[in-house]
Amino acid sequence: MKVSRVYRMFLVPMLLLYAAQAQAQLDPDREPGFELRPGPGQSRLNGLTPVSAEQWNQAAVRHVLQAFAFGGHASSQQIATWVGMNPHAAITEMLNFELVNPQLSAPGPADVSSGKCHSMTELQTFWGSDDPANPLRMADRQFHRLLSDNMLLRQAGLYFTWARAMQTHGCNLFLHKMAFYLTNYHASIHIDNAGVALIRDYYDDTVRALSEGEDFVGLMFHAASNGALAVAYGHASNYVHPFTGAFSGNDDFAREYFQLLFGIEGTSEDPQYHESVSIENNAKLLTGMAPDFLANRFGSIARFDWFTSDLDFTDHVDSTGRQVRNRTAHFDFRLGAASCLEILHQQVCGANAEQKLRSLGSVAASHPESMASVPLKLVRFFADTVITPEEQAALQLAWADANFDLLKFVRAYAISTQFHDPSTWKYWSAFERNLIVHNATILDNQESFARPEFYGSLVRMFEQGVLPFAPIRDVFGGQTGNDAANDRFVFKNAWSANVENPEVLSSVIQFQGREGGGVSVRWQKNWSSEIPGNAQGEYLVQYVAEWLWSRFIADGGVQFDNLARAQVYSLLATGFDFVAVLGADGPATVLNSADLQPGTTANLYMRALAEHKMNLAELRQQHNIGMAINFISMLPYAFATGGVNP
Amino acid sequence: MKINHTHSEVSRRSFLRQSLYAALATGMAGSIPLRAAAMDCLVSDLPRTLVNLMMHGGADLRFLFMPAPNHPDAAYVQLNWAARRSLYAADYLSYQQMFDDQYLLTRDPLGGPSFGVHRSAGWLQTEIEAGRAAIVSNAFCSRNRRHDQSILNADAGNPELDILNFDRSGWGGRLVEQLGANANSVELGGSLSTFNKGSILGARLGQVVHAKDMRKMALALPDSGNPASDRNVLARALQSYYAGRGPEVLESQPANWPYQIFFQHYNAISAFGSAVEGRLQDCQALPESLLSLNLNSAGFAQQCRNLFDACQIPDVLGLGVLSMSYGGWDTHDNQANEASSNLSDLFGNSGGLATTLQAIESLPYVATPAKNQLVFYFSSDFGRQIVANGTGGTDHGRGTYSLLIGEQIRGGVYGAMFSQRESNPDTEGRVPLQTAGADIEGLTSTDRILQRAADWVKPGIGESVFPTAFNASQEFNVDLGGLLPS
Repeated sequence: MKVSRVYRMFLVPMLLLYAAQAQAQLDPDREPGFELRPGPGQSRLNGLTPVSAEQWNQAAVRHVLQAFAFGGHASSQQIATWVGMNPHAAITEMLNFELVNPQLSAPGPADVSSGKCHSMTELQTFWGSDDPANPLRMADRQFHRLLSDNMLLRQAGLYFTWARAMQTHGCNLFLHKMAFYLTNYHASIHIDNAGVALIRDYYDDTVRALSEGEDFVGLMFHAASNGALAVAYGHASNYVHPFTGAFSGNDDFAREYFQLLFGIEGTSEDPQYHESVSIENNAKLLTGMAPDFLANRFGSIARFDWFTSDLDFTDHVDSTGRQVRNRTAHFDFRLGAASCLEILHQQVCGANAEQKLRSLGSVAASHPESMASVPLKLVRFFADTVITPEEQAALQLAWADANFDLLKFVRAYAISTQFHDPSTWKYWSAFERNLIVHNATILDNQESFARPEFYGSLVRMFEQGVLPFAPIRDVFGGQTGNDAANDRFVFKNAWSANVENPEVLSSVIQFQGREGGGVSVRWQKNWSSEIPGNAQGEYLVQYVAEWLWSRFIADGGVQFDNLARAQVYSLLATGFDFVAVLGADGPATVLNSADLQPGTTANLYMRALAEHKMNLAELRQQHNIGMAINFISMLPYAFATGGVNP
Repeated sequence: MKINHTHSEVSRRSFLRQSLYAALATGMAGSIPLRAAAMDCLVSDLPRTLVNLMMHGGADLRFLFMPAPNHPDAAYVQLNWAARRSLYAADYLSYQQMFDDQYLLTRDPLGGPSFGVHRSAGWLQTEIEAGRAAIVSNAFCSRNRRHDQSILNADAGNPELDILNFDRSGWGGRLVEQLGANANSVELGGSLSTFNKGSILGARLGQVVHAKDMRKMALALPDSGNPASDRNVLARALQSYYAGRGPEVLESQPANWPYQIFFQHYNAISAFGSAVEGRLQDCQALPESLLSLNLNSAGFAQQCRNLFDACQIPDVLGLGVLSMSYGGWDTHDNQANEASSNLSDLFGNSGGLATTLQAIESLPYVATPAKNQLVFYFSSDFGRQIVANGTGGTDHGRGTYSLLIGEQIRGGVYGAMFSQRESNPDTEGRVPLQTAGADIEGLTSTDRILQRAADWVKPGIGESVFPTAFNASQEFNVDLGGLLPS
């Protein structure tokens, strides 16, 4: 393959930079006290230095889980096991694209739902059904139904199902967060433009591609050749006239293919070339991409709901009898495999759009702008709001070394000093924050299914400005952490949610009706199944408070200041706020840190509360834990995450 | 055990004092409020206020404005029709027929040729003919065709930016800084943007109010219900923490400490939320016309209600700059339907702005009616290509029209509305109106226009708000001097 002058201009300095940084990696002093045993599936890449054994502690493990897996569902024991392992080995267990990752999220016993986690279509069909194995409350099944009363696919059903899946034990939350990133942020489309059937297919297709081990190039090929994007962007109806050769269509995805999927803006070369050659020819490439209808799909009466995402690039008749001319609508189809278009200074050839997209994907992914941009997009989404130039260089080096292996790159980053350094931080989006809080609150699937649907995370996400598959910036993706942090109404509504409806996080008992009446199933919260007592089996307030802080904030207690402690101790011990416990001074009283200095009365109160023994057999004490969770999860530290191991 | 209350009492006094200062600080912006007769509402005149309405997606304003069939350049008319024929229903037999059906013939108050305004924008046509709307032709706010970069440039007020760095000031934020410490950039839409941000690193939201729903701005603080309820227990605990810890971290942590912003949110909402809700309860209820405002975009209808309410309490908000937005302009396909729907919401006779401004006329005032103090500026990512694509839409372009509306505007068309450049061969022999990819040539930087708008808000501040405007380009022979008399 001929390398253009433009490529050489970028590649040579980049390679020199890589070489210099790779040399720096060989310096043994960079990893004091840690014996590297990467082992199988090694997660070491140029540019990224793994954390030491001392840095690989509980806070670090939880930090990884929050950033990459919506907190995950791993038990305290499992987390302790990972802390004791070599980080390379631990991260291999923590982050993988298996459909089920029992260590990250163990399916419940005899749980049918987790067996369907690979597909939102299957989950929604099941949860909306009257199947005797359906574990949902009778009243909640309607929210997941596929069809509305007028026999059209329901958007809301998909919203509810995705949000519930993200709190269901047995679903691999790393796999799903990556699929969510790819479909709602990176190669994003909006449910209003693609329709329910196609966008659900697109998500399921992405989950499947990830689980089958596709690399970044393969994933982008699957996205670009997906019927959902063809309909959403409108190039499903692009064609080249078979006789005149005239192109008819738009250049929307022709442009966004470069910018969004690969981060190529055309700024590294003559902009006119990018506009008039690469984009214009890419528009011609994206011809012959009409999706099929599958007659009466899902029982919907609307043909729009019958679209399928898996494109057939031949001329054929679909199941509704419609002529689909994807071969002859394509550019220069008569030339077969010799049909070529110049894009990004390369000849991209293939008999149809599928073949050309396969060819173009490698070219685009290797483009210097893409090599520089893609790792930063990933890291900005998962972990780091502000990436310094030094960090950028390291990430680009690692991405080059990963050879488009997304999993390898993420694992190496997740155990890197860069990720775990306190200077690395990001704000949570409303998706992330609410799912992390819910996943840390809900202890198992019995609880998950016993809770009313409106106790789930979706309502809170909606109140805080987001819905899955409805990205606020359409093709530019969903709410970012920065969006959420800068939006005062997100903060205000989050506050209102915890204050006005604390039962969502503090409910301790539910009764779940059975089909056809009969005895209700009683579920009761049992935090003692998760919180390990001390050596004497006791639950001292201070101990429980710090355990909760670690579980929800995951900062190793760095921000757990005395003012927060006083409130958490008080809520755990008494169910009341600290000022109320202090008495006399009225509800508006504000304490500052000086009020809690040793020797003050308030300090004596705080210490007394800290030493109080909780009796978790009492429902009231279980409720108090929920009150403390409401408080902790509305503190500033629950809206952002950062590294804790300098 | 006897509790020592000394620190707590001091803290409570300190808290009350801070709250009082906050209320005073926010209440004293603008002119001295008067109490309106027959109501408890404090009436304060709206200061000159610039409303930036961002049309996200890249609005095709060539669809809004079309040449009249008797336009002096007949060749232009024919080429333009051929280039854009596919955007309209197939059964039109001629340009004249389409124009008569889709457009309102409109007189240019500045004496230029008459032109067409899309029928869905009936109110706008009235404003243009009345001399209250200006159209600046061949404007540009960005040199590229990428949404993200172009929106950033439009918000920042610098068409020449070519790096995607969102940690920068917007022209709204810079403008309120020039208005004084009590002024705020007030966002009426769903989310804050670069437009609102100020120039102080780490405190860019210091002079920003997010008023997404003016009637629901208050924080859920302890109420008069059962003090032992879970609600009030949590409200007290959180209030105590934020109010107590906030001043400490402000002192002990750097401005760019990631968690600082949430203490800022608490302070801002606590200070503003109750003040806004309280004042609005004393003032006019939302009029029926706004309560029942039924637009294609429910979100924009809410922004219109917010606009009305903002004009009732300008002193509380520290007005001078307002921000609104309307999405859905990325019309690569189905443009006629989508653009018509959008235009109807914005500029229709029953649209959001017509309805809201009519309601604003009913507001009491001391010396100057609020409607006379508002100027709307309409921005978008970029213009679109002048030749329709093959899917009933238009693709990304660059140049566009800038539009300003207000009682104080010297209305009319500035610059060549339908440039001969588009209908004549270029140096390579290509006629833009026959060339895929061609767009409106951007000749006048939006900086130049906005600098004048800023000077209208407060004379002499334009240069500070738009420091690069002095050497920005402007269409030859176009005088923007009279656009907005000071």
